[in-house]
Formats: sequence, structure tokens, C-alpha cells
Amino acid sequence: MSSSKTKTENSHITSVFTGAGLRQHSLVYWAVIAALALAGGLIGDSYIHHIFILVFIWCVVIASWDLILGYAGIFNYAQLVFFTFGAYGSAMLSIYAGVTPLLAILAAAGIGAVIGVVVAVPSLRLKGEYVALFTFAVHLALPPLIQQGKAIGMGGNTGLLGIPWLNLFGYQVSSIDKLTWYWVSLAIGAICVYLIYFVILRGRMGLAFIAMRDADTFALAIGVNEYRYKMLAFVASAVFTAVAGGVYAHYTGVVTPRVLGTEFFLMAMVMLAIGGMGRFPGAVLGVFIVVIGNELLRSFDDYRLLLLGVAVVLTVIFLPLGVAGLFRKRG
Amino acid sequence: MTQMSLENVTMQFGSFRALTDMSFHIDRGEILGVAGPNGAGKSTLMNVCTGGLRASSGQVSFNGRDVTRFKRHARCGLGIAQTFQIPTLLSSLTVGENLLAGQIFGTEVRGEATGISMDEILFLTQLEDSLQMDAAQADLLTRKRIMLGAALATGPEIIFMDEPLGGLNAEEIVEFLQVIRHVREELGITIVMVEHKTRALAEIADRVLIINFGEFVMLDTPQVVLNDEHVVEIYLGKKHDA
Ligand SMILES: Nc1ncnc2c1ncn2[C@@H]1O[C@H](COP(=O)(O)OP(=O)(O)O)[C@@H](O)[C@H]1O
Ligand SMILES: [Mg+2]
Repeated sequence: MSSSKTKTENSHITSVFTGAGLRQHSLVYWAVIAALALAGGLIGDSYIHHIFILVFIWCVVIASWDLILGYAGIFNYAQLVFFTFGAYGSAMLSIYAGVTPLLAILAAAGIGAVIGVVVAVPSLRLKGEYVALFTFAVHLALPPLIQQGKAIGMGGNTGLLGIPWLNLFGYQVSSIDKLTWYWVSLAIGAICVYLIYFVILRGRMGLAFIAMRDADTFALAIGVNEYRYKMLAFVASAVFTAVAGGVYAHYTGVVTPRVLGTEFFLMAMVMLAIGGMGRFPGAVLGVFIVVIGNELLRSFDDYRLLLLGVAVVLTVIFLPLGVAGLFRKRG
Repeated sequence: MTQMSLENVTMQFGSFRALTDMSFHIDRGEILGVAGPNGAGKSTLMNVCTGGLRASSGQVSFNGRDVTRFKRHARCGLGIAQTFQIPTLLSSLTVGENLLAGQIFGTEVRGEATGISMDEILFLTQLEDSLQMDAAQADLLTRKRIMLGAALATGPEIIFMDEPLGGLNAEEIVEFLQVIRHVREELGITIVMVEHKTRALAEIADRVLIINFGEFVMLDTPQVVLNDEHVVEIYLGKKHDA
């Protein structure tokens, strides 16, 4: 209390947007990541490794979606389009151009940026729910486009097979080497999620996103350049999601148009619904809960989707803000 | 000493004309009251000045520069601020962060420091004890203070205030009028405010603009305007009807 008093006296407003609490929160974050890294080494079961690798990849997708939908309040439903372009782009660069996978994943970030702009330009001319319609239409239009892309080596329905293994400075990481993949996907996922929640969303961009979401007219009146920041939201969201797509492609060794299927899309929606939007770490916890829950429910087989549905309904009723609602406001 | 001027400004919504051929000047440092019956086009006029709307025809100039086609954030960068009838704030953030947002984006869009310190803003708005409070928790008067504070934080030369006294009780009106007066006295900022209550206008405004059906009726000192027969008829007459 007294320390905040001294701060106001020289007009320094304490806020996460001016770096308040960043060091402590970052320490906690990286401690959790270190614990996860350690846990990876202690886990002997490669199937469990596999589940966590999927969790780490999903975390990047959902954090990116949370950035644009939860924080910036833009109804973008083309998230898996970004993922698909990242996966195909990275796969094709390494298959046809012989680009080493690590560089191909980096290039996927660039591809993501371009696709982000391409989806953003028409979206920025639309209002609210029409953005949802347009972006979802892009999602629906992509599988037939991939079919047509067979001519340029996109593999059509069967997709792309035999995507080269990750080469970590001379060390070939096969898809069977789950422990290494666990660490690789954890490292990439942790960096992406950190950049999203601790760098972008706690900086000026994050403040602009929240301002446009909370009160768009007021935001414009205090000088927020709407076009620029909404464009940045699309680009940032697409860049990270495309990286996740690239990692996924090289991990599974296969990409097919099925990444745009209903199951993937529903899973992503369920993760956000259960985790809650716009409040770190809600969405990320949603990923852990849904992916792990989905695996635990595998023995129920036919009822699995039903149970997931029930979980969503219960969350919406009892925790309308998702798991994130259990946390007090940030700050 | 003209700071802003409108020349033959018309605002058309489809076939409906909300403003017709409006021309007048705003002097630097004055408090200009804007009055007129409901639906007269007062809010539309404010928005045409601040960039919320782009005039269908005519010209809006600020410091001699044609800003008719400038967007809202760009006009903010030139020093034109606005507060709204209904204070919708950055409700998931703290009071302090709302002010900070004004300073950060005002600085960004200006490309230089805003020239009004946070100290002065806190002194004027008296928000220093509520900085850590959630903005969503603030009462109406506090919300109005926050909105004004954020607008000031962008470093404006002129502020357009749409019904700043709306919803306040008599005591709060006195209090907020004092804040508005201070903004002009201490910071030299021009104020254009829409207000129904003629008594408040007479008290604070240097000049009063009356519009009716989107048309200019008159612009003069409060004494002249509020004693004008025609104005009394369209303005107070309406009030008696209601
Ligand atoms: N965006 C709009 N589209 C169509 N008509 C509008 C719009 N904004 C305002 N109007 C109309 O313009 C007229 C003036 O509105 P307004 O400027 O809000 O009046 P005031 O603030 O004086 O009460 C009203 O008849 C209103 O219905
Ligand atoms: Mg109005």
C-alpha cells in the first residue's frame, strides 16, 4: 500500500503494461517449464510423451487464438487455416527444396505472416459477426483448394507423406524418439507462449487489443490506430500458429487436409471454452485439460465426444469464464 | 483566434440529413456550449468534428488544416479529443491503466510527448486514490472523470464533450463543472460541450451554439442566446411540452 502511494506521487501508474510483476511472473513461468522438462525425462512411457507433445503444440495454437479472439475481440475462425499453411509450407519446403526442417519451421512463420495479412485485409472491412462468417468460410474453402493444389505437389486427399525428420545440428530426430520431441516441442511451445502472453500481450499491442475489445469507440478517440493493431493481431496470431503447424508436420511426418476436419476444429473450440478466453493461463490450461481428458476418456470410445460435450455444457453453466474464471484478475 | 472551423458541413445518413450546411468557428481557449432539442444533431456535430463521422460535404478545419477526411485516431494525434455521452471505458483494466492508455496511444499517434503530465491529470480529475481500482467498479461520476482523464492524457488542444453532465445529480454537476472549468483554466484547452441544462450552460460557457433539425440557429453569448425569443420557443418550449 505505502509503496503504491510513493509511486503515485511521481505519477508512475503501476500496471502490467509498464512491466509490473513481469520478473516474478516470468520466473514462475520458466520454473513451470523447467519442471515440465524434468518431468519429461522422468516419464518412461513414450505414449505419455506423445500426448504431451500434442499438448505443447496445441498450446501455441490456442494461445494464438486467445490473442486474437480473447484479447483483441476479433471473431477470427480461420485459426486452423494458419496452422495448415504452416504445416504444408514447412513440409513442402523441406520435401521439395531440401530446406532443413528447423529453417522450414522458421519459414513457416513468414508464411503465417503473409496468410495473416491475406485473411486480415478483407476481415478489417467487416464488422463483428461478419468477420466470423468470412473467416470460417476461408476455413471451409481450404480443403478443396488443397485438392487443387495436388498439381503443385500438395498431395491431394492423401496429403504429404515422408516429411523429413527434424535435424538438430546434425542429430536426426525420428518420430519414434519421443523424449527428444518432448523437449523440442516444449522448448518451441514455451517460447511461443511466452512471447504471446508476456511480451506481446503485456506490451503496447496487448493494451491496444484490450482497448479495442472493451470499448472500440473510446479506443479510437484516445488514439488507437484500429487498422494497424487489428492487422498486427492477425499477423501475430497467424505467425505463431503457423510455427505450431510446422512443428506438427515434422513431428508426425504426415500432413493431410484432415487438420481442417471437424474434430480438430471442435477440439480447439472446446479447449478455449473450457479454459476461458482473455485471461492467462486459462486457455493454456484448457489445452492440458482437454487433451489429457480426451486421452483418459479413450476407453469410453463411443461416448468420448458426448462426454466432452457434457464437459463443455457444465463449464459454460458453472464456469462461464472457463477455468480462467477461477483465477483472480491479472495484476 | 479561430482554432477550428466548419464550412457548409452537411451530414447525410441515407436520405436523412442530420446536419445541413453548418458553418461556424470555434475560438482557441473558449468554452462553447452546444444546445438544442433531442435529435437536433448535437452528437452528430461532435462526431463530424472529432472524426467519428466523415462529413458528407463541406469542410472541417483545425489550426488552418483541412481535417475533413482524417480518421478519429489521426485527429486525436492533432490534438482533438472527445468524451462520450455514455462512458464506456476499458472495463477489464484498472483506472490507472485507462489513463495510461490515453497517454501511450496519444503519444504514439502524435509522434511526440503529449505535453500534459500525469500529475496534472491526477490533480484535475482527483483519481490518484482510485488508480488501482477496476474501472468497471467506478460510479458514474468517477467514470466521467476517467474518460476525461484519458482524453486529457492524449494531450489535446480541444475537447468535445457530449452531455458531460448527463445522469449526474445537482451536487455532482457542481463538482464536474468545476473540473471542466479547471481543464480550461489550468491547461488552456478549448472545450465544446453539449448540454441540455441551460442554467449550467449560462454558468460555464463563453458562447452558446443552438441547433435545431440539423440546422444552425444562432451562436452568441449565453445572455443573448438564452433570452432570444426564437431560442426560448424551440428550446424551452419543447421542455414545457414534455
Ligand atoms: N448513424 C446514424 N444513422 C442514421 N441516423 C442517425 C445516425 N446518427 C444519428 N442519426 C439521426 O440523426 C439525428 C440526430 O441525432 P443526434 O446527433 O444523435 O442528435 P442529438 O445528439 O442532438 O440528440 C437523429 O434523428 C438520429 O436518429
Ligand atoms: Mg446526443
